[in-house]
Amino acid sequence: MATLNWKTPNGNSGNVDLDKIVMTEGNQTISGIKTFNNLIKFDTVGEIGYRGTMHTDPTKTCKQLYLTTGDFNEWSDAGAKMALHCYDENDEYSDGIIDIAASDGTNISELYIGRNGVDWNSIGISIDSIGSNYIRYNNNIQIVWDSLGCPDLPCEVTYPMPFVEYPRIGICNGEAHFTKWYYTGCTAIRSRGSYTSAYIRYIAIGKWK
Amino acid sequence: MPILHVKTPNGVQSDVDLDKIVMTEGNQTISGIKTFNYKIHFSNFGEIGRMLTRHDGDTKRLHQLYFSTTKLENWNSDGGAKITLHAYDSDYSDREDGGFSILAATDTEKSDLAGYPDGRLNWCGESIYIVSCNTSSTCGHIRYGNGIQICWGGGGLFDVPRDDSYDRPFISAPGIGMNNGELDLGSSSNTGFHVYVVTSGITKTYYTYIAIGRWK
Repeated sequence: MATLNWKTPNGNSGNVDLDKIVMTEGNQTISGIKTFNNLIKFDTVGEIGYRGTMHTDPTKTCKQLYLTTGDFNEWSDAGAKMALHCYDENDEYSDGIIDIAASDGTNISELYIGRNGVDWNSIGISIDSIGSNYIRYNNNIQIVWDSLGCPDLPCEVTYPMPFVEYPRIGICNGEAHFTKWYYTGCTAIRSRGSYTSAYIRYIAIGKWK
Repeated sequence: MPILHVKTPNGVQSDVDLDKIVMTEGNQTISGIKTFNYKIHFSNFGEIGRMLTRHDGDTKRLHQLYFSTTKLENWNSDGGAKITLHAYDSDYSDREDGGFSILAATDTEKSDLAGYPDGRLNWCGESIYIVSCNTSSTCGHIRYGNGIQICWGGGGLFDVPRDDSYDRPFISAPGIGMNNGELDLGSSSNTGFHVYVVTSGITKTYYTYIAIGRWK
């Protein structure tokens, strides 16, 4: 083990184990944990860092760990960034969002991934759930469908999942249609003629939240 | 800038800038900004780094800041995952465009999510985003980036026969399902359709419809 006794021009002095120092230029291997208080920069391209910002809710702060092609404090520049948000309420982490954005300096398109789904430019694009005869999207739209066979008319119909407003309906058979609408279902009635039953397949679109 | 005049036990002498040395073993804390010229490599697994490549016949330079489970130069052959942030530079000083890519791969297959400033969001090259949607009105629509459009409407008490129009036009007449057997569909176009009466004597009635087609 080579020990270096050093003394700087301002009079400070100390000892350094030469086996444990390297210059910061060139390749290096760090065997322990390296802690950065603020920022890692990549020459001319971008940086990795964290920052804390106030949230619209003054009781919360938003901590962001980010990777960006530019200076994050002036991120309106063209480029791209990825930030991991963590909201802090009374020093307890309460919520997290992944925010990935691309910019040409004027237009910014942004992908948010959170606990309630995925948004692209503020429009929900992910599927909340898929089940038997229904799809619920995170943009609040729900599509349900069913084949009712050839029931006697009138016939009570229950949607596979309820809506929060009256849905719009397409039905494949002009011999019957839906009436007496509810958020949870409707009644199929005879449209014309004297028949007492009809084959019915339908699709309904509306809001589920 | 403190300079350390070094003389080791074996007789080697040099000057060391104390601002440019770090300990290589044990836990360390860097309190200032640390600048890496190239990359941070994690032993045996993954790295964070930058790449500069030529683009568009050498007229542009592509800056890439990436986060990868493997060395980026070996990416074409390795499975794993990476996130890349792009910035194009046309004259080496002004960045004019940005984008991101998130990629998952086995040794033989790759799937990636790519986003661009103009609103494109692609999964394996195919648009997956919703261009626009109107979910709050009685006459609504969803336009998907892949060209599919769904429109719906009706729901009121209407004088019939009548002409109805979609919330957004299609590129050609769509397929329509309507909920009222007293009525039927007449002429149809990319912007709407005509409703006529099948059951004689009907002059007012309720109906709804759903139309699916392409908007581009």
